[in-house]
Amino acid sequence: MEKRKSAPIWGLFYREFYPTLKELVACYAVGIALCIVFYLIKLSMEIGNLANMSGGNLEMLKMTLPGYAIYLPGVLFMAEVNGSMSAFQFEMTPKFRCFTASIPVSEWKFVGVKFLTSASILVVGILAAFLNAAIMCSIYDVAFDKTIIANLLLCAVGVSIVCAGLYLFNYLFRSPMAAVIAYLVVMYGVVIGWMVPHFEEIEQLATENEMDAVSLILEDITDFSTAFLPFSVPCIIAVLWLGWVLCALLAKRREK
Amino acid sequence: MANYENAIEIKGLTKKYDGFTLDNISFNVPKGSIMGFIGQNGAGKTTTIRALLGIIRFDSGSINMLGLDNREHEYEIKEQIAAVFDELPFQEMFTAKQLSIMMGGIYRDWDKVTFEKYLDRFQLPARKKCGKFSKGMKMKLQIAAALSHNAKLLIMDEATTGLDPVVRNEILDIFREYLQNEERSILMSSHITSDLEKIADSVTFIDRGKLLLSGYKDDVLDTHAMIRCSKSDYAEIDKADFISARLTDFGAEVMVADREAAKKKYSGALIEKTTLEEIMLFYVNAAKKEWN
Repeated sequence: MEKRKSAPIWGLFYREFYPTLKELVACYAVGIALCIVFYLIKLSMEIGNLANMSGGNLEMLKMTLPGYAIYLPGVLFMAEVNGSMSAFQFEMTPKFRCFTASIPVSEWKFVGVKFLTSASILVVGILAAFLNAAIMCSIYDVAFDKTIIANLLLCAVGVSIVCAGLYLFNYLFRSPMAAVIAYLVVMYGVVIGWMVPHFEEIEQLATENEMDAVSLILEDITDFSTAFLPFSVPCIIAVLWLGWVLCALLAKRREK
Repeated sequence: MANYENAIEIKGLTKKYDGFTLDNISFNVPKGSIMGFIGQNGAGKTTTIRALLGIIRFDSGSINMLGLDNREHEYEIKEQIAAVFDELPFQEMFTAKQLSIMMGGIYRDWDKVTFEKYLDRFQLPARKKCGKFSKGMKMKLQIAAALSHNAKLLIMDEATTGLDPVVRNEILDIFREYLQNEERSILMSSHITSDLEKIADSVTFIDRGKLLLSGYKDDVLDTHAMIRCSKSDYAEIDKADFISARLTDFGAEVMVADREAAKKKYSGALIEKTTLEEIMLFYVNAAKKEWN
């Protein structure tokens, strides 16, 4: 008898996507609300109460606010991929694994559906982030240039690492608390590892002028993200895929 | 689908873990019948079912389901089987209606109309999240889903555990209806032997990874018997003639595997019918021979 290939999988896409719907809507609603708030702040800076602020404070606001407006809603849109991964916790329960083994779908298709769903949500988030950045750049009269694109893609990589990594740790330690602690240790380790070589420089600058210290940090990040730009998309895909595949393989190994 | 006599054929199934071995398990589930798969907790029932579903790789042996090798023809088999577990294996935010959409996108033969008929029959609300269902309702939902894609084989893993007698009875009635089509079969693993006495055609006992007994339920119940006697009478019973004996302060209960032979040999003794539960208990203690 000819072997039959595994069954259609659109039901699994529905299953992956539906649990994230509530979080997706909430996240996007908050992101859009933030965009409106930033727009209103800009209006206020031009013709409202904020326009009456003393010169120095207003200048400070005009300098720092565009960054928040361009990046903050975008990070929120991209972070929605976390919603699709939160279902992962449920799926490592033994009974669910028995159910997945009883349906005519291969394990790799099962994992692949998860990857495609997460990747789709992240891609939509990235596009929404770019759209937000373009709109905010136009509102705040900032050039929408390669630096902003590079920074947004770096944020996307960061979000992917946070989401995939957190759930990988969660699976490895089988305890949300232990996963968060381990994850924070790793994250702070990375941050401290970056800061230590620059520590004296930042400290010196901060005593003279705090803004210079902040600028130095931002410059370093911008230089890194610009250099990283060509690698960002493959990196996002690799991180997401690695997270899911590693967890699926580890789960298989535990079963054997 | 191939012609076959047995819905499930397990031959020499062996799987070793640290501290536990599923050791050379062989039994068949004839087509059109229901097999009760009995054992205490940790006996190896779930391990056997996991081997059937391909979740674990067994070390040796073979498994045929619906006439096909379960590794070579994995997807053809899985289109035709359904598994039901003691816990709902779906996320609790789904409603029955959404479950139907999901299953329709997985099984080629998913029958939405049949599923809705079962929902009506079980009085399950279609738009309520299944996380808010009672345990009995969750089980009925699983069964409704299992019976709605023309499955020829149901595998039930402790599915009636924790349900009240009314719901369990309702579920057993559904299985009787399901088996009216002789192409269908059920493997039901449970330690609630009273359910299996009501419905099973054949039984297989497993304990600590070893097969103790397998055969038609009526034959097993007819051939086994309990001798209830005083201590003095017990002393006269040959140890080779019985499975094991439960000793009390007042006497002994002795399980024999050959009722007719025991009647002839111990004609003065009180020899009574036994139950699957008692058979399981006495076989589990067979190594000890005497226990209390």
